[in-house]
Amino acid sequence: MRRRWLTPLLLAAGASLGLVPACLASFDLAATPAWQGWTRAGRTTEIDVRLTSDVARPVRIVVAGTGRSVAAEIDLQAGVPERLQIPVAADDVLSITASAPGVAPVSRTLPLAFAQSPLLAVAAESGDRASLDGYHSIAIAHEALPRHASAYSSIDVLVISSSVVAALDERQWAALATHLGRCGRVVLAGPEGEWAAAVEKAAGCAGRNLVRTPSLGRLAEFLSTNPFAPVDAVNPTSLPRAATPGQAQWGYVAAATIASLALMALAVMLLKPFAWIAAPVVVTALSVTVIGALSGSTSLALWSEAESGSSVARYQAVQWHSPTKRSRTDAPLAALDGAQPCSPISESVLRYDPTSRRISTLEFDARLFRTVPVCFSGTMAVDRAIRVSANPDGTLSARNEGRTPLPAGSLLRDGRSLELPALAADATAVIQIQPAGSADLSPVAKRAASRLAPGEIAAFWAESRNLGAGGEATHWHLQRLRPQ
Amino acid sequence: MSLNRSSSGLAIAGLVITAVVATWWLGTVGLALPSSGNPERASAQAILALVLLRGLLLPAFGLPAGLRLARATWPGLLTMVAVAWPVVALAWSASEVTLHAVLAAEGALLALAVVIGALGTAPAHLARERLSADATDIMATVAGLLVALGLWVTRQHWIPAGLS
Repeated sequence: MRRRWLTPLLLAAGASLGLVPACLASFDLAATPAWQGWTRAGRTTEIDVRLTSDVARPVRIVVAGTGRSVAAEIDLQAGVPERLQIPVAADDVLSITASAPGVAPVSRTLPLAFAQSPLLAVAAESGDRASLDGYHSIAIAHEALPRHASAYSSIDVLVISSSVVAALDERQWAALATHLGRCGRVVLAGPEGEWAAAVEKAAGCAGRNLVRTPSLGRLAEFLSTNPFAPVDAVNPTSLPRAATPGQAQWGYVAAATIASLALMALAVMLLKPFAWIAAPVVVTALSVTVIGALSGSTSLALWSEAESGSSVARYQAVQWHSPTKRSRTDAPLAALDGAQPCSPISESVLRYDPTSRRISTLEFDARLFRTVPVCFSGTMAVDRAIRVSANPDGTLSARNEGRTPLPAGSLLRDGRSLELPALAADATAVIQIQPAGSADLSPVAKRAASRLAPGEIAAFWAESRNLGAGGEATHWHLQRLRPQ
Repeated sequence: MSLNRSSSGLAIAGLVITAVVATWWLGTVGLALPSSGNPERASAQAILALVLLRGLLLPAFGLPAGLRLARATWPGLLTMVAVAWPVVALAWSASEVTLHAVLAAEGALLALAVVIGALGTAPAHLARERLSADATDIMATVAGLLVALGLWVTRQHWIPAGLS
């Protein structure tokens, strides 16, 4: 009875301190999928999340599908709407949950539509229509185009007009340029101009997948005579690596097992029976501690390709993580675009960093011997210009026409490899052609050579690089050269 | 001396089965790693094998030892269970088996060791008073094998669900 007055008093005190409004106040959450919710199986899309709160608070947003999710944390300011675009693997239904300390979580459910036919997205002025037989066509307003290049993997062909390109914001243009650089299939409609030139410059694969058309009305007819080139990307998980990280762990575990069995045999021989039980307890604690204390390993393989004269290379990469301890682990990812687990990882969470606008961390359940691969794809700037010409005496001249020195590498042609020396800026090297021994290629050089058309010549480099996530990083770069 | 010898025999039996399973486990994992195989499954199977083998060998070896000596053989029996712990712990680190399942299985094995050790006292005295030494040995061996057979038949009931 005496406590009846206590609750209202505490509430009044809490309210006067501003605690109660902070706890009761909620926030608004809205989420929109890219491409009007259309995507295809196994692709990546993007969710546009809008959040508003009436008090300043940190908010955790989780976009979850079946078995995989992406999390991001942002600091909301009172009354200031925040907008965040999060790349996520396509799933039948995605749930978006925003949670903050002291507030009930707010959730939204987004069903995605999986197209059976290839998707054709049309981003053009209102009234312009485009369709292609066999394609599912969707019309997209320019402000709805994605901010991450990986989201373009949801569609098969983008039809965009020059005026829409000009209206894109900085991030939308960067995403479109990366998509173009990765040989994405794009139809550019409209007249010549500054933006049309920028689109042509950004296109990879020597522009084979960029089609210019003056009018969308005759698109089908135009594409029937100018078909898209197949995109032949390297499978990142097949890239070579020095050794399976688990193999090094195996050696340590085998040594720990042998040592622990030997120690216990000694204990049985030397100690009194009632002391035996202590030996396994001590040895178990010791072996688990030693193996858990070994640092996990991470390695990265990056394969990039560029055409001669292009300032952009498209890349595929894979980063392997091998922790040694059974625990929930945060693995930092390389500062590369388009990060996604190469295969589904149960109970994993990708962390999206709103500042760098990249997937920055993979959180997963680590196991001894378990190696988790994360795949990346995107484009990167290249500053390599090399010209190779044939000399009358049968040798080749390789000239570095760029401003930066080139490391030693190799020249590949018709399944043969020639040694390419390091070249300073503007330097020229004469390369002797050795018809006999030069066909003995390393496995990785064979892979590079297999990507060239007959008669095509390319420079190939293998280098070690620091890509910001620690560990060993190997970068192979294949630069196709213009025939002289 | 006989207590020491008998208990160390039980402990060494535990060491031998642990070494055999550890060799199989490391071999399987070593073969699986370069080909992107599944070390988690092999690790779970190693834990299950260690639990089953110790569960069956505890009565098969422990009962005859206890009845023959008419004394408790707890140190040897408990050590027979415990010598596998380092391998069980490492295999657990590499598996999807829950900690709860492993602890439950090891607890069941320790309880079994205590029960079998207790059979080395009162029932053994009774047997030795009424039977000859040879008959006691035969009876102890048969009893051990029967209990082991019973544990094998009822393994679905005493092995935790997360292991099988």
